[in-house]
Amino acid sequence: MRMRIIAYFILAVIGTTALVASTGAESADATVDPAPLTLVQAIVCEQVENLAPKNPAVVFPLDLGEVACFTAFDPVPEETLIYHQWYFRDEPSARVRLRLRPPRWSSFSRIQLRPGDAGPWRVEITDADGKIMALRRFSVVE
Amino acid sequence: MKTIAFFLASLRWQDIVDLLLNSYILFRLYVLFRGTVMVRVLTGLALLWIAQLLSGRLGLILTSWVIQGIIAAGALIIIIVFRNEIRSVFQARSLRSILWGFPRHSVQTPIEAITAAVYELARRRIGALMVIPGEKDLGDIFQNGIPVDARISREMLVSIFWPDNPVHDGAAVLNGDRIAQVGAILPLSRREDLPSHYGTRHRAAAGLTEQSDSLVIVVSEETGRVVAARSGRLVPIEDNLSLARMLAEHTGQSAPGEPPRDERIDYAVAGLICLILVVGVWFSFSRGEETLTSLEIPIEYLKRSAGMEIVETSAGAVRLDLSGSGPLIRALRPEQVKVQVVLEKMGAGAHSIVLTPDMVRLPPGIGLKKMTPTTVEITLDMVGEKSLPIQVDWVGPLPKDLRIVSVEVDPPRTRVVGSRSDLSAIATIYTEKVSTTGIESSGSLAIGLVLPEGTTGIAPGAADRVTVHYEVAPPTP
Repeated sequence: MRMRIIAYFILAVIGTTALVASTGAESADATVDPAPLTLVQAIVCEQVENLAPKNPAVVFPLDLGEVACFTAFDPVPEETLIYHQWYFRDEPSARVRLRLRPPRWSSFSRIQLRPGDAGPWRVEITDADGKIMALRRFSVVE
Repeated sequence: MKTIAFFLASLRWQDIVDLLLNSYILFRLYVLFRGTVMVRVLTGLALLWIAQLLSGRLGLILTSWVIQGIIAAGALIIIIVFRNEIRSVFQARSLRSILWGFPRHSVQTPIEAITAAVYELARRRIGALMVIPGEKDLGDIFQNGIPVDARISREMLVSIFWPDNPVHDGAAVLNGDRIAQVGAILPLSRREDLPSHYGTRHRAAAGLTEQSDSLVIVVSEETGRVVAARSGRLVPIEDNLSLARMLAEHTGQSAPGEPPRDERIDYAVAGLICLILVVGVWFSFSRGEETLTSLEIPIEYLKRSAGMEIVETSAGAVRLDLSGSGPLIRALRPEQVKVQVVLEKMGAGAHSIVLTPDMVRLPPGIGLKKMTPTTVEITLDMVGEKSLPIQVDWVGPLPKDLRIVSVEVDPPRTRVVGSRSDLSAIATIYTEKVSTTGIESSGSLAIGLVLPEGTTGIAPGAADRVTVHYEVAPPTP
């Protein structure tokens, strides 16, 4: 009889432990964060055609008229904003706000080239909080 | 009266020290060289210098130049000709006696003893030849005497010329109160006009005095007559009083029976003359006709805190309007003038500093009239170091059929040094211009870096040149 009581007690302890363990696992599953916003492509190119960058390069002729920065994100866990910040010789030149939508999204910005824009450029891709996700450098030549 | 009061009020303590010090130097030179021919020569040079100043003022350019040349040559000649006197003055005296002491009362030539000895020799008809030197050094004229250095006395002089004495034929040289040499052989005169009754002693006396300013006393062995020779002339001496007067005149001392000259009065008069001379020279230099000039002087910043850098200043130099006497202004060089601003204990940030006259260092005798600007704005910052990414600065036309698709810089970053505020505004360091002309295929090139404005240099050990690897591709149609 005593042996049976001990066996029941052991079973009860094991059962309770298993239950607690399974409950904890369920609660852990319930708080798993979705995959963070991830930048998979950041390219400076001559133009964007059919949502694809065309002629990526690091040196562009001024007479091209414009330069584009193409960015692709996967995944996009929730609707958010990103920024393309353009700098000419370390001086801010343009800041373009782009909206991203789940589950994945591609977007681009472009700047018009004018006389006097020849020189070193950079474009910073930042998230909504201003954190730099990528930086691309290029030059415009006469 | 008003002018004198203004002059006295405008005297600085430095001016008074200046005047007294230079008067004393001049006075000491007089004391040291007193009684030598140097004083007369220096007086002559001083007069020449005054003449040169006057001729300069009057516009006599050629005269001024000629006198200037004579003074320059004269100064050199004095050093050469009077080297013995100069050496004897400085060698024979201690530093204390050069700087402070007065020579003891000048050694008195015992005129009475000489006179008595001469007339005793004359009475006994013993021939004698005595040389009393003047200012000129006799070392170059004769050097064959026997040094004695004995005190002059009647007995001593008589015994020297006593007939059986081995040195009685030569001359005795009397220097001060000492018998310096005996048995000296003097140069003989070659004159034809000397009376026939004059013998060798007279000819020797005439010969020496032709070449020097000495006084030579001759006692004739034949006649017992006394003759004095000076400047080549032989003068018979009638009695002991005439001889004493002549000796007194020659040695510059009082004849026996006359009151002695007070040297203190001599020194006082000399000191006063020195002071007047120096004041005159000083006045002509420092308080003469006032002249104005302007100088652009860079500001020197001193005693910056460690690690602190001057980032910006509103003025790097100040314009000073200066005044002073013509000679001082003409001699003024910009490097003699300094404008110094002490930055001790000033922290980082902008400061406004008022420039005051005490920040301006001027040579004596130059005054500050005006300073422009009177305020300088200065920004200080700490020196720091920053790591910066390197970007290639491409230039030149890009071939139509070519794209540069990727660039890699090795090393990708470098470190620069500069003020912290400037560094915070710098995000990139660029290479020197890299031309795209001539690029046909992928490749590499080495290139230097351009320091961004506000930096002071590349940090020690950091790269100042990079290698650029580039890749090219044809454009997509």
